Amino acid sequence: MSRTGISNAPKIINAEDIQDIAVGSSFLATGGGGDPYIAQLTTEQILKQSGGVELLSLDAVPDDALVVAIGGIGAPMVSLEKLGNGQEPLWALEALEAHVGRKADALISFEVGGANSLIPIAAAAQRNLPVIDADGMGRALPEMQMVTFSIYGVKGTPMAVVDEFGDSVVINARNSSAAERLVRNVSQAMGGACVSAEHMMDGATAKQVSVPGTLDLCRQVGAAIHRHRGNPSAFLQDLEGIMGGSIYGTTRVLSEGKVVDVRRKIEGGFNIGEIVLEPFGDPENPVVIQFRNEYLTAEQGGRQLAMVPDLICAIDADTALPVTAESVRFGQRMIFVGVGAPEIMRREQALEFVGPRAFDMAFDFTPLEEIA
Amino acid sequence: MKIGIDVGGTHTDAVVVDGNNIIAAVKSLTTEDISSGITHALESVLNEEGVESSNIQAVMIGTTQFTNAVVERRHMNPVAAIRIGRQSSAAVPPKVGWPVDIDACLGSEVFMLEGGYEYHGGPICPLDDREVDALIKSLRARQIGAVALCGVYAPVNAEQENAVADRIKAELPEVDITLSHQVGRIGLLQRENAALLNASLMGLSKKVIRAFQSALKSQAIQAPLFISQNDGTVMTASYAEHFPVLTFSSGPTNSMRGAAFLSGLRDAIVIDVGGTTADVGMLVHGYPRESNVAIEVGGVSTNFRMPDILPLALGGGSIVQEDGKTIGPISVGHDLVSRGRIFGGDTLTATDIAVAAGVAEIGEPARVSALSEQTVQTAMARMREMLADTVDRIKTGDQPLSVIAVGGGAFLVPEDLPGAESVLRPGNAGVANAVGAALAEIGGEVEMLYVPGKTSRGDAIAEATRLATVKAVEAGACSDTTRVTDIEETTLAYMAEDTERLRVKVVGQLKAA
Repeated sequence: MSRTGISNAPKIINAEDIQDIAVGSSFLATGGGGDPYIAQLTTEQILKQSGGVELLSLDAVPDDALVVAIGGIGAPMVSLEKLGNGQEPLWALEALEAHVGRKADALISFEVGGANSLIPIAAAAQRNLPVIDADGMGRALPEMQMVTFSIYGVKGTPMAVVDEFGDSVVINARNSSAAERLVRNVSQAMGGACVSAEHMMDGATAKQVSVPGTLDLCRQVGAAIHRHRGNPSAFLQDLEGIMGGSIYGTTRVLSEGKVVDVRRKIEGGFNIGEIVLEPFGDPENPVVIQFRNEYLTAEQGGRQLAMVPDLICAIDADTALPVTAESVRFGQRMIFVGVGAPEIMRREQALEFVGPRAFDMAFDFTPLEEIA
Repeated sequence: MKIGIDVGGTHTDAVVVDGNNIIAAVKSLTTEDISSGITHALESVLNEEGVESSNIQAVMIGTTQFTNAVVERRHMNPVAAIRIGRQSSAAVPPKVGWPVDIDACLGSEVFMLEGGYEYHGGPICPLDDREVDALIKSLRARQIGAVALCGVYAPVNAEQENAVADRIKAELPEVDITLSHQVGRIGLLQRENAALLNASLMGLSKKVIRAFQSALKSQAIQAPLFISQNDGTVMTASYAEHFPVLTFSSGPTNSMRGAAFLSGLRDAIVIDVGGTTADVGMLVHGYPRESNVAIEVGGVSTNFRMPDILPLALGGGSIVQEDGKTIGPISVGHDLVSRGRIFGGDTLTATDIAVAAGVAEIGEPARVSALSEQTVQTAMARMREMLADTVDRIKTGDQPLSVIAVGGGAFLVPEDLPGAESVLRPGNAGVANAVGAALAEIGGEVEMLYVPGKTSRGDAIAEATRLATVKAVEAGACSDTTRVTDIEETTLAYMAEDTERLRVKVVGQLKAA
């Protein structure tokens, strides 16, 4: 079943793949990314009309190709009412292209988390462009400066932001943090959510600064979840095989148990808190999971079991479906799984932005495989 | 005194309640036409001593007919879907993801109008009068009988939905209209689904309510008729005529409300054991805790106010394997009385095990005396484990709670259920549903968003309470008995400007006739 082998035939994403990508990206979103359901429906509609989208392997991107990242910014709640009209990603791209006077040759996701793994696919379908099988995180994270594109020197701006009428704002900022602050305010003026085209780069650069193979990985993980719905142990067995053939590291069940406490608060636009899990068969040794939109650390008896940027993914112990941090509830039975982050997220330069200390924690990063 | 009636798949139960006393209770069979079963149940209770039709102040009926209509795709009328907010929502058209057969019942008429609101209630853009004119022309030309209107953020601001409805009413007064903000909350697709199902059932609801009213009339009952809804309160018959979808989950709700009354507990876990399944739910302040997740009705995703119920495949008719280790999910259901061992059949059921273990006295115990002690003990332990596991999952905190066991198979719930402080088995537990129907109150609910920097929390709650009280009184509550039963606040994540979502529910006693 592994699709990671190299083949000459172009890979195609069809409407039937979208649900798998949506659920798989929700798994890799490590508790963040919101509910990708609306983006799934929208993207399915677009692909049914346009046909499939070519999934371009990162190493096959021409060095001089113009690559643009596209995704949604703002409150996932808003998308429950404002479903969009399906044109916004295309308009964001066109606004950026008009600003710089060049056309994009390929699109890329800045995070494979929830809706943002699907938005580039929708725009690619409408423009008959390929979408690159890669992203800027290999997971989801809360802020713009945490994208590998930014970490490894690509400027986030100029970025074009649009609403459902195609009204647009082009932002030019000195760095990603400044751009992040400006776009939050524009998003607010656009009704709480908007679509952004950003991080323009050439193909040669994209190869240096992207996390490869992640969209196809989402598809495989999502397919495994659907195949084994209601059977978490069968899914986890498949997951190990899928991750083993990828650029991700060790995959290990961190803990399996019942949620005995959830504390959360909203601070600075983030969903911050912790989950206390009582492991099955070992109720005396609770596991504490800290989250800030995404799950960041898992600790048991003063010992870290896994930490950001390694992935801490969560599934429901009954359905095997991914569980977002905002939906965890008391009494829920969950399985937390650690997955070693791709090497590009673990370099010293990256850890400055995505390591434990970037989230105000008082310890350095220890890779999952070095934790016994 | 009040009469409560529960129309179930098998039985139509009726109780007469005077103050806090149950003075009559009957079980009769549900009939194909429903109303003759109700007439029969009414006749039976009115024959009881001390019950006079002239003393009845109100009749409350809980019914599963509308849920069944959707599940079976029967009695559903075609509906035109009208979405307000084309520019902001056209990517996902109405009825996406519906099963083909139910989609076909409603027909293919879809209209998209410009308009809609932002999360803060300001307009995205105004309605276009020419579009509304064209809509009315089309509705007239295509002889459309029912419409469902759904606007972007209509639960925050319903002005545009109301404006379009007023135009349709003025020009096409015979058209059945459902407005999404009256049947659903935030979540456009699910609210739209609710409005579509509701509009489609309005033809049936008029017939059903009239049949109920004629059953009352045939027994010379002058009292007003109320219908049970999902959240444990009732609505007036004329309101139910317009909002049949609000009855969708009234069955489990009534049994939980009945359990609260019969036991005297307001915070507890209720296990309603039937023939095939046990429904496990939580009572919070005397009402069922509501579910937070999308609920499917007949394959259509909705966001109705539904109790959070965990169904467990364990009932009196659940088939038990010979070794006692596996119980259910297959049940003999209504055939228990012919297939169960204690009734002379050859199938080992959960009820047979309970009789063999001495916790129930039904049928002929001698027929199960040959069962091995080990099988009986293993099966009893397995049932205890299944129930304990479900009780554990329904709890939201580790506070000690009692379990109230109701329904025909309540004896399957053991005295020493892990996770339960105690197990109560109140009298009349078999007609808990009808009791719940008889005792229901009437309520109103409002959901709104506010920005704390611009509106104080106190003002926001006061305004939501005022609006919810108006809704409750409109629905039939006595204005001097209304009280707030629930305030739920959610901070919307990721918004630069902190935005709060506030939901307030107000409940009051029914106005006397």
